[in-house]
Amino acid sequence: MKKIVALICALMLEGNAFAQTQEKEDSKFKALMKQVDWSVDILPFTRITKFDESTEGINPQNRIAGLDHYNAGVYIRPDVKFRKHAVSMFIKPRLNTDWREGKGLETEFYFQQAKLKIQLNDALYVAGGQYIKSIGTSVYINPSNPYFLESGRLNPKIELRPMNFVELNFTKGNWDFSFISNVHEGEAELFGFPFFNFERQHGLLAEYYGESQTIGTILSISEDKRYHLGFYGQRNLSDATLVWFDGAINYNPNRFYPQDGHSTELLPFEMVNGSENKKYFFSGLLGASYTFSFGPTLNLEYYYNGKGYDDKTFDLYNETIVSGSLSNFDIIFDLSNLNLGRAANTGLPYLRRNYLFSQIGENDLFGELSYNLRYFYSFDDQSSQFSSLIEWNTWDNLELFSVFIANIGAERSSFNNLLNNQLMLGAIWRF
Amino acid sequence: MKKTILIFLTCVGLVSVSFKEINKEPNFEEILKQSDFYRGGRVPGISWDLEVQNIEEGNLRNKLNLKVEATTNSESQFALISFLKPKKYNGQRLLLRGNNMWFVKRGMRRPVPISGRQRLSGSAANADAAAANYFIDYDIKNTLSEVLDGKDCWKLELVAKNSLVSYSKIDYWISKDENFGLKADFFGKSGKLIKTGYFDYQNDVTFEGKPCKYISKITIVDKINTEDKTILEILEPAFKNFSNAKFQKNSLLE
Repeated sequence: MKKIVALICALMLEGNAFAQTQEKEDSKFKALMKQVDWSVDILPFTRITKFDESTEGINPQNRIAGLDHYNAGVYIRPDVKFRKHAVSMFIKPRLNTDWREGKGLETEFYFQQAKLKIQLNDALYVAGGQYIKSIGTSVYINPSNPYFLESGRLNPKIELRPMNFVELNFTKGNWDFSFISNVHEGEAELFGFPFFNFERQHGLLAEYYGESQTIGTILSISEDKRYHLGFYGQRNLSDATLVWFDGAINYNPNRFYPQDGHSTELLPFEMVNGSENKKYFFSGLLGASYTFSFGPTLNLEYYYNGKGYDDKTFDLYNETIVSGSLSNFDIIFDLSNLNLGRAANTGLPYLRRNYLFSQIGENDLFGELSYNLRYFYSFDDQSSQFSSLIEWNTWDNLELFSVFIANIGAERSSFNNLLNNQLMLGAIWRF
Repeated sequence: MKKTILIFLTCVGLVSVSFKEINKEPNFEEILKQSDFYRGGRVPGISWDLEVQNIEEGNLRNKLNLKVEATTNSESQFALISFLKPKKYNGQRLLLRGNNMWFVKRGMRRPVPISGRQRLSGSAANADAAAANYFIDYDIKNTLSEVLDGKDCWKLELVAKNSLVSYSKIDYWISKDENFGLKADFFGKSGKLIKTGYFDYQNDVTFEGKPCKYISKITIVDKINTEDKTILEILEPAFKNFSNAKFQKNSLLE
């Protein structure tokens, strides 16, 4: 009997010890989970696109861009943040499933952000991983950013693809200094044949935050001796008015331009990234925004794109497209496809030189509606783009949205040479 | 005789000292700084959760939960405001560095610079009244001694140092005994009274080893639509040290 009692007591003690260990483990886990923030967006959508697939266009019979008249998909976008002491981790995996006309289901997985940041002391941190590096002030395009030339004309619900960076940041008073290097192309598009070779680009960024203004400059050099001096600034003129500039001087930038003759002598024209780029180009914009007392904010920007084509080059560009689209047999078929591919992806955010960007928008109207209406205009060929983004938060965790893009202008004008218009309807379920 | 003169001079001296003590002008800048401190300003780092209730025509229109992390140094004030609830706002963040402001929400490719007025549109329209550093943004134009709800107060007339702040003038009542800001009348650029804020101090904190009461609730009453009000409850205030990296534009994308 004594033995049984002793055994029961031993088991109880052991059980108690186990429970205590379990409790400790649980509290450790709870403490760890307190450092983690997470959320998930599930984005189902459908999209209708009208594009130019005429035989003399940039995308003859859709053989270059491979666009879909109709597609649908579900994108799953988790967002996980972990912070403990000096270490922070930011993880944003992406699982994109697309249903494409005639091609069925395609699934893609990648990391939109996988970033590690270590705070060495109050003034110094190192960071690295795959992410978007935002530099500059403009709402649409940041010429000062040597790493990303996002144009603001693309569908805002589709994420910009990230690159791999390492950076060291030092803060002194109102000054921030960063050494930034893009060590790998990551998920960024436009690298690899027939487009540009990926080159590491090392930049030194200095940023000053004043009481009501911010200025910054970045000097960067690529492995292939491409130089970039970017600069930007913004200033609050009143509680409703903001002005900014954003610009860059580039030497030997990556861009394709048309030239007479082809290196193989099989085609009359060729899109090249060649010696004409070995000079200095200036690109810059001036912008202002005004917020009306009844809610909406109006943004206006004038953008000068020095790397863009003048009239003569643009005519040559269109001739290259027409001749390429008609060269549809034997070896010149592949060469012309390469030309057309480069014509569709020139490395230029905008093809021409002078643009006006405008936008009117408001967030959280009636507590549930946000809208943005954009109108971009090219002074050089009078083409334009109208786009709208409407987001309606019907319920707490459900957003319905629509994106509409219409390119307006002559057949081969800079805005209207590939995509004519697009409508995207979707929802975002947040939890 | 010498004794009489000495006593007389001593008495004159004492009276003179007492007179000076009585008429000694309070240091209103220090009082304002101190009242800023109790509302979250003038500290190297502070964080709190903020529950915002917007009441329209007497009915609760919506409720927001925000996290506020802020720091004030000798040159500037920085704040990072993260929207937590409802879920539709989750991911929205606002960075303030002095009068510079950037906003980001989920899916945005870059932080967007915004003006003070743009910050105020939407559901957080009244949150600006929680701005803590009046000493940095306003000059003291006039002072008065007044009694507010039975409490002896200094009434400070504050005028904006520049056109970048939301209100051109604030009439501000600060309790004489504790230097708590108790009430503020906010005036627009036209000189019209727009809102009135009432401040409560029920939170207990310890700063530099000294326990003290701290801001716990701000009630903002609209003076145009008088049934509209916003209640901001300050929960779990905690003094912290933040690195400057927390208040960088790029951190909004993390």
